[in-house]
Amino acid sequence: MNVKKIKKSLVMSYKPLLGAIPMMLGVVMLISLVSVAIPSKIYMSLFTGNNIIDSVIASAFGSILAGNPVTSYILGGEFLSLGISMVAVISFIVAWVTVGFIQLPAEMIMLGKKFSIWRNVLSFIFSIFVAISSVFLAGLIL
Amino acid sequence: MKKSEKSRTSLYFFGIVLLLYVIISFFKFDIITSALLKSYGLLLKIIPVFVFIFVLMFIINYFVTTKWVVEKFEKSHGINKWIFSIIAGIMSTGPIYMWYPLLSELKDHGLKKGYIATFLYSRAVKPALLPLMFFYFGFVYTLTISFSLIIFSVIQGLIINQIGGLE
Repeated sequence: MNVKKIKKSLVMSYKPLLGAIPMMLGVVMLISLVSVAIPSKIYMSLFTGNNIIDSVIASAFGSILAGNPVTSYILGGEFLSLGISMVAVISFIVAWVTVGFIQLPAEMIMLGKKFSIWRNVLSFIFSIFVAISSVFLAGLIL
Repeated sequence: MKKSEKSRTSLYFFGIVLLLYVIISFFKFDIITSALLKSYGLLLKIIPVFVFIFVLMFIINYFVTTKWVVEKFEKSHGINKWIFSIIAGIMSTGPIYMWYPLLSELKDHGLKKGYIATFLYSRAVKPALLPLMFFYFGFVYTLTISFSLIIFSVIQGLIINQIGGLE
């Protein structure tokens, strides 16, 4: 094994995790505060109970928010425990990791304007399809 | 967003949440106590998963380098190129913008944009984070979400290629 490569891989692995700690702590504390202070029926009112509409709402949130995917999983997991549907939660986490409005300007410069816009629009639509397909497939297995 | 800006934003965010806790504690101390207890419970559950994530990230970072990605992209053809786009996307770590220069170079060397779209979309499957996904969503959903992401990454690539690369 190459010692230099091991060192480089160790640094590449711990740095993003270390950098994500304040954000993760903040998210965990904010989720806890919100779930304790605000009754779940208030944020549940954001969702309609219709899988498609809820997915669009969740994907829109996921597209706007950005950051480490770890945060989206933690948020998604907590949304589930609050009673938000699995389809909406999956749409949210998939949009979070696949749609990048914040990175869009950089992507447009490096990979082309039309490509970047199309890719992000398709990713938004697909976040809903992925959610529906995942829940459907899970239904077949479970 | 650069790495330093990102970690600064992360710290600011944490600082704002702390400030919120301090302010609310003056009016509703019981809410803060319950919230802190809930945070503690949540962190206790997540921390062991993070140790596993670190090990997986190390293994991936050791074996997958940008050089490896370029070589494989250039050597693979036909259906293998699609398969490699998916594998490279799944195995690629780090922020997405880190990969833009490499992808831009590959594009200039004639790589069809559909493969780039597939690569970028399949990045949503994160092997190092599968334990966390498993923890929150269970094995079956981890499996079906990952499978659906892979299928839709190819569909997206095919659509982009079909439209003709768009430029």
